[in-house]
Formats: sequence, C-alpha cells, structure tokens
Amino acid sequence: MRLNLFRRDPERTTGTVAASAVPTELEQARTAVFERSGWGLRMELFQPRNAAFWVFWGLVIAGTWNAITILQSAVAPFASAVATNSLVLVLYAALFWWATRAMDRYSTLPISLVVHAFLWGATAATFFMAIYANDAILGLYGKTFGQRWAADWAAGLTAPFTEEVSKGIGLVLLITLAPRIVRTTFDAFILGAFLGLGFQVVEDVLYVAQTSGVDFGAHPFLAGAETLVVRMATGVAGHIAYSAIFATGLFLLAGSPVQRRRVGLGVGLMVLAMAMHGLWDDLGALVGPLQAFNLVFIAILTVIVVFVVFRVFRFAVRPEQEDLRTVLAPEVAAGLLSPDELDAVVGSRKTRRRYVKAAGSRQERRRRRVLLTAIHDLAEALPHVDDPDHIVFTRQEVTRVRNT
Amino acid sequence: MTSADTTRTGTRRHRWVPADRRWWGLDRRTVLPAVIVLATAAIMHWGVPWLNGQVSFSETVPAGSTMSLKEDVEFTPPAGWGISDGVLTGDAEAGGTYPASATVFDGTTSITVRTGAFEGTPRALLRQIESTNAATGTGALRSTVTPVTTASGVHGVISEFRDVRNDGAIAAFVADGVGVEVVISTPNSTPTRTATLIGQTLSSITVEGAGS
Repeated sequence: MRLNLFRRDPERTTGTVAASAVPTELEQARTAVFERSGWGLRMELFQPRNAAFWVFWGLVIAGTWNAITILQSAVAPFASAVATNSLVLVLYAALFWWATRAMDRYSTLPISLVVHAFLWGATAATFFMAIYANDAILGLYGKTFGQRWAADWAAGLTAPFTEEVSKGIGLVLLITLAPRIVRTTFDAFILGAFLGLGFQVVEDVLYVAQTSGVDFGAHPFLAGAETLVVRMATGVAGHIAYSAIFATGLFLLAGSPVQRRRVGLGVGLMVLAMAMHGLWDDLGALVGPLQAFNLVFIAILTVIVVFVVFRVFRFAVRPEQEDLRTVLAPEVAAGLLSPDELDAVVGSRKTRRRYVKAAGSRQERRRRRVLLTAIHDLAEALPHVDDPDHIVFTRQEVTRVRNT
Repeated sequence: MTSADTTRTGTRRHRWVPADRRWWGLDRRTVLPAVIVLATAAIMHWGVPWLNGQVSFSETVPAGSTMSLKEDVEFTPPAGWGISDGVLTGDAEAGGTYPASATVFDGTTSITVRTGAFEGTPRALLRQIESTNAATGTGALRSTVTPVTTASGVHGVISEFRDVRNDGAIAAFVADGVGVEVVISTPNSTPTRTATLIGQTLSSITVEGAGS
C-alpha cells in the first residue's frame, strides 16, 4: 500500500537518536505511565464474559425501544417542525462533541468508549430510567405536598437526583467494560461530559416536540425553535457540565488503581453537581417576585456553573498533563523535541496559544500549530510497541513538519 | 487481567478469564457492578412508578373554589373532586403565573382544561385539536359538532368521542385570542348526576375580558 511505502521511506530522517542516549529511567517512567493509565489501549467491543456488557446493551436497546415509542407519539403531530429544529440540534451537538473531544487532548480516550458514553446518556439513562422516575416522583410530590408546591419546587427536587444518577451510573458500566482504560479522574470527567451530551441532545428533542404543541400546535415550528434557542443558549450550563462534575465525583468516591479514593471530595462534587442542577430547575421559584430579572439570574448561574466546571477540569487534567510530559520526556532527551515544544504540548490552551503566537510570521504560527498536532500523533503512537514502524513514522512526521 | 481487559495486541490471552474466576460463564469481578446498575435501573423504571401508583391524590376542590389557568382563564370544578393537575385560584406559581392546564377527577371521570393563544373560530380550534389527536391516534371525534356557550357568554363547540374504554367529549372555546380546550373523559356509562356536574363545569368557564 502506498501509505506503507511512505512510512518506510528510507530517505526520510527518523528523528531518533541512539537508544543509549535516552536515560533508562525516563523510558521506565514512560512505560510505567502506559501501564498505569491504559494509554493507547483499545476497547474490546464484544465481551460476552463481562456482565456489564449484557447489562449495557440490554438497557441501551430497551431505552432505544422506549425512545422510539415515546418520541413517535410526541413528535407525530408536528413531525416536520421537530425534524427541522432537530437538524439545528445535530449541528449544536456536533459542536459540543468536537469541543469535548478537543478537551480530551492529553491521553485521548478511544472513540468507541466515548460513543458508548453518548449512547448510554441518549437511550438507557433518558428513556429507560430518568423519564419514568421523573414522572413518578413529580406525581408523588403533587400528591404529598399539593399541586402548587409541586409546580414551584418539584422539578428541582427530582431531576438532580434521577438524572444525575441515571447518567452517572453509566460510568460504573464503562469502568467495568474498560477497567484498564478508565483509570484517571480526567477519564471520568470526559466520559461524564459525553454521558451528559447524549442525555441533553435527546432531552432537547423531547422538549422541542412538547413545546411544538403549545397554543394547540398552531405554530409548531416557531414554538419549537423558541425552545431550541433557549436550550442552546443555556446548554453550556446544562447536562454536559453537571455530568462531567458528577462523574468526576463518583470516580473519586470509587477510586481506582491510579486514583486513591477521596470520599469527601467525591461526595462534595456529586452534591455540587446536583445542587447546581436543582438551582437551575427551581430558579423561577427561587427568584419569586423578581422574575422580571430572570435573565440576569440565569446569566449569573451560568457563570457559576462554567466556573465550577473549569475548576474541576483543571483539577482533573493536571495528572494527565504530567503523564504526557513523562511520555514525551525521552523524546526531549533524545533531541527530537525541544523543551519549549514539550511545554506547549502538555500545557493549557493559554500556554499553547502563547507558544504559537511567539512565532513571528503567519506561516510560522501555522507550522507551530501543525507541529503540536504531529507531536500528539507521536504520543498516541508511542504505546503501540507492537507497531514500531508507526512510531518511527510519527517521529519522522514531527521532523518533517518542523522542517517544512 | 479481566474479561473486560482491552489490549494493544488483541490476543486471546488478554481476553482470557480463568476458569476459577467465572460464575455462570461470566467474569465474577464484573457481576457486582452490573447488578448494581441493573438494580438502580429497575428501581427507577418500575419501583418508583409502582410507588407512585400506590399513593392517591389527596388534594380536592373545596366547595365554591375556582381554578385558574394561563391566559386569565378560570373555571369552577365540581366540589370534592380530586385535583391531579393545576392549581386553585389564588395559588399562583412563584412569579404570579398560572399553569396552562388543569385536571380534576372523580373516580375514572376526568375533566382536563388547557389554554393557549389562538386566533380563529372555535370550530378552527376543534379542527386543530382533532388533527393533533389524529396524528397520535387518540380521541377520534364523531362528525357532529354542537355549539355551546358558557354562562359568561364565551362561545365554543363540542364534539363527542368514544374509544374502547371511554366515552368523552372535547370542547373548544375561543375568546379574545385565547383558546380553551376541555377534554372530558368518562366511563362508557356516565350517571346523570356526573353529566350534570360536567355541564356545570363547562358552563363556568370564563376568559377575562371576554363574554357578555
């Protein structure tokens, strides 16, 4: 194949130096990271001996079946309006998918695992668990405390529990399906975000379908679009954020071979995610007579949620950055990468931007951006010791891009 | 290594679960988390709805009370009927708004009132409701449409439906750009007294600023 010929091009520099030039302890540290973190492992899709495999697919299939039944009756009267609005939603979901994948830039989780998380959020969590529990608990509140009380407070005292649990419990299955891959707090954070993304997308479709029937369904497209705009505008402080925080807390509570159990912090993050979710759902009742300023309160709450989610992100990502530094350290010792390049690759978005901007010309800035991608490719290839050709090739690519 | 282990090489050995670690062919270490998830799902899917089914609605309509809805619509439900949706007048949600729907019931008989903005005639509203119901296969109306007018002078139309379990009727009223849908669901044989109460409820509907 042409690709293989290209890989083995003898004229291309390898970018490597003699193995003896790389201190053994750096190599050992790198190997330890691979072993510890499951870096570069692929997820086994068919695991008949794993009980989680059967439970996962059983509930996903049951959830999908319920989704079809429920959506059919909710969407049928306004099918074209809901379909049109849902197309916009697909683009929106794609944007969040891309943003979340971009956040997972240090030791990227396998796509199959991420798809599993999304599927769970969109089917089993929503249509097998949350929707049934929500209706029942809302009903119980109304019966116990009266309809007025329920109208004000029931949503915020139901969804945070049912929805965060139904999404978060998916993480337990994902850990059981891929115990050597889901090892770090950051893995849990990213998977939580994808569990939330799946949940949010189908919930938005359901809301659009329901509100299309407002005012007797006289203007289904406009009514649905209005809901969609509100959901999209406030989506940044929605399920994706809550689930990422909740899943991080759940993971800290459970612990792993890499992450020691931290009960206090874990429970704290789970409660925080549920509290923010509850605040959001009961904002109208909490604001009370100040509803004229509702938008201001929504904006304040959004800022708080975004602030918290970024704090949790920074907390979770730090060990990943250190791992990436360890993985690439032998390449620096071997002279393939410069310390500046390493700092940029393992650094935050700000650090990377500073590194790129430091280049003079536009062409040089572009070259630096591409170089960072090439270094990432190398980091992804390094664990695959059974494919040394590819490792050599990605090293060649780093050199080629640098010399372009 | 567990059966769930993933590999870089994909060899069979990596997927191997030792014979002494199996339970009914499953990796024993994966059973507990799977059972926890399954139990949680079962509680949420069946357990909580079952519990809800065991608890009855306790809120009833006090004699002489009215219920309020969005768009300044009010009606007087039969005293003593249960309230399964909506609020009494004066019990507005935080911010002073009322919900867009209310349901009262007596046994298997229920009256649901929904409101919304609507520009058009009561017949147009009924057609709109009918077309929505047709898409979901519920409440197919008979062809007869009868005009009705509430005590406050709000004009509307009513048409009956019948399905396997229920008789019923859907009434549609429009006044000043406000539409009101009333869905009456009764068992196949409705006592005269109940029919009278339903008639009184329909007649009690008011839309602020509309009617005589």
